[in-house]
Amino acid sequence: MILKSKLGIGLFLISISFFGVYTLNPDGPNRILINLLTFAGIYAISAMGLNVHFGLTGLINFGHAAFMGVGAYTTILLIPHAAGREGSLNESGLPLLLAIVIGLIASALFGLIIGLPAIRLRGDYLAIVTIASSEIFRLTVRDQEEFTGGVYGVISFSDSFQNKRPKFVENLALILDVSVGQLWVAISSWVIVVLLFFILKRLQHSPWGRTLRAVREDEDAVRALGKNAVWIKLQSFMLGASIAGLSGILLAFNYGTLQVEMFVPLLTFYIWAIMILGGVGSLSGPVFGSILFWSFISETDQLASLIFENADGQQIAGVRFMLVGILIIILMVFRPSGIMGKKEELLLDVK
Amino acid sequence: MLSNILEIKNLKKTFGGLQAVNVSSLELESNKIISLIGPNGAGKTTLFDLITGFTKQDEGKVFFNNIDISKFQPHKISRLGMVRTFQLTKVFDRMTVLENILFAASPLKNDKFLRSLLNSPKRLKIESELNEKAIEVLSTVNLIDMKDSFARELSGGQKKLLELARVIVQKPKLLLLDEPLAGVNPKLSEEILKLIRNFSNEGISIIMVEHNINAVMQISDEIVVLSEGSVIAKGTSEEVRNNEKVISAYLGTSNE
Repeated sequence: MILKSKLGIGLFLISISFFGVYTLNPDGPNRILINLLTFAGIYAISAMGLNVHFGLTGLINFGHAAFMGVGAYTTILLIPHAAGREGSLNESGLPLLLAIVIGLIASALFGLIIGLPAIRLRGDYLAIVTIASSEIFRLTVRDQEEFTGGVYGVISFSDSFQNKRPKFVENLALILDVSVGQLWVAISSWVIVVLLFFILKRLQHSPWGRTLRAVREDEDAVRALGKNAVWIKLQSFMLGASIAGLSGILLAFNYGTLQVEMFVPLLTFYIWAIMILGGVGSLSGPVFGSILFWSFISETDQLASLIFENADGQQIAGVRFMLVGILIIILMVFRPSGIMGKKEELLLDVK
Repeated sequence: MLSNILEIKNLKKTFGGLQAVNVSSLELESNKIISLIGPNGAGKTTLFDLITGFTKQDEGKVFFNNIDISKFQPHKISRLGMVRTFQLTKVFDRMTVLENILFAASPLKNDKFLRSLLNSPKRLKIESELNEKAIEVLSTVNLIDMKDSFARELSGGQKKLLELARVIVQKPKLLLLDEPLAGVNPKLSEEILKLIRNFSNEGISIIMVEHNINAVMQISDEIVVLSEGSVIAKGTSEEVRNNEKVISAYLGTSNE
């Protein structure tokens, strides 16, 4: 009976996933669960941004990783950090919150810069331009070693974030026997997920959200009714980009290091997978999709070892891809609109 | 009183080698129902696209209420009060019927991001006013029972009605209707024609492309006939009906 409602299905699937984590990891399941939830929270934020682009506005953005990267690099390079091979600590820096705000603005501006020439393009062409832009971003960051640390990345920046940690997190970490640093990232991420959910919920049914959905349905009609479709799309692009930027910043704090290889196109496709799993156009979809996705990802190590003896990294990665693929296929067959999506609003039929 | 709402001067457009539109001069008076007819491929829809900015002309100028709109973007033209519909109905399928109207009715500053985010009591008041207005418009086109359905669930004819309601809620000065009766059953056709007449009585100038000649003859104050991109006749239904060039354009050769 509980399986009749979308929420019921979502919660059911997540319970199974968590049960799986506990049974597959008899020693220290909390540690694994918190790790899972941290990544799930961060990726859910990113998928919420992508959902603004695709779910609400119908823009096909295959360069989402770059929006995450721009936010992360801007913020991290503005706070005290050590970049590059020598890794000498750059003590001076802006306060964290200011740096985050600048990071979000930078992501939005990056969205605007890509969007200005590209957004006039039809769906599939926009996809090509965005994936190219994201690779240009990644390769530029890799080559500008002086500023970005290049392939050596950026380290020693977590203090700015961990300084803000309230006392109760430490007590909680002791009780749960998990890493206190990661617990703080997890809590921050999920607070942001909840806030973002309510902000987007308000926006979706507001007049502004209505213009976004109208553009998704028919741009010509939008123009004929006197509204500037290009500007509407650019606004959507900027909002989604800065949400992605926020998730990029959290991702950096979770790893404790910032590497350009974190923002490869694969990341973009993980976010797409999460959005599709959760249900395109649904606000809670990314949250459920993300938890489910990360449950699979974090359990593939165990599953891979059932298939291979002493599975190496490559084999685990292979099993991972296979399982995510199977998961999406199963879901598309039985619930084509994703876990939380509405059938009437199924949005995979790109014009 | 009888000023020109639309003037076209030397408007040309070619697609490849095909001269789609070549109108040297056309002046249309306000407060009339004017029909644009002509055989398939005569350039009627292209002319609409050129006037409303959806296609850029090769040369020539279009004046709307004496404003040169030749270089304006479609949304700018629409904001001046010239609103069009489409040959293939373009409703927002996955939005409700009510939302379709609300989108059109909502003024630009109401659509702003920050306003929507802050959700002030003032905005909510505007939204409830818009709601009333939308419901009023929906009742005039008999779609009030469908207001919470997705627009994609409507029949073809109902979509036409919705499109009409969506443009009329903007209180345009000039309405360009591209085949408002295409694929609509006779009973609904009557209803749509009555609506168009009402719009006209409210002081909205109307230009429409239509293939249903009976309807055109019945409703039009003036008829403009296009053939191969050019205006070949202009006048009342009586004048047009007896025009040699019109007969030959429709039938191929002159009738003895």
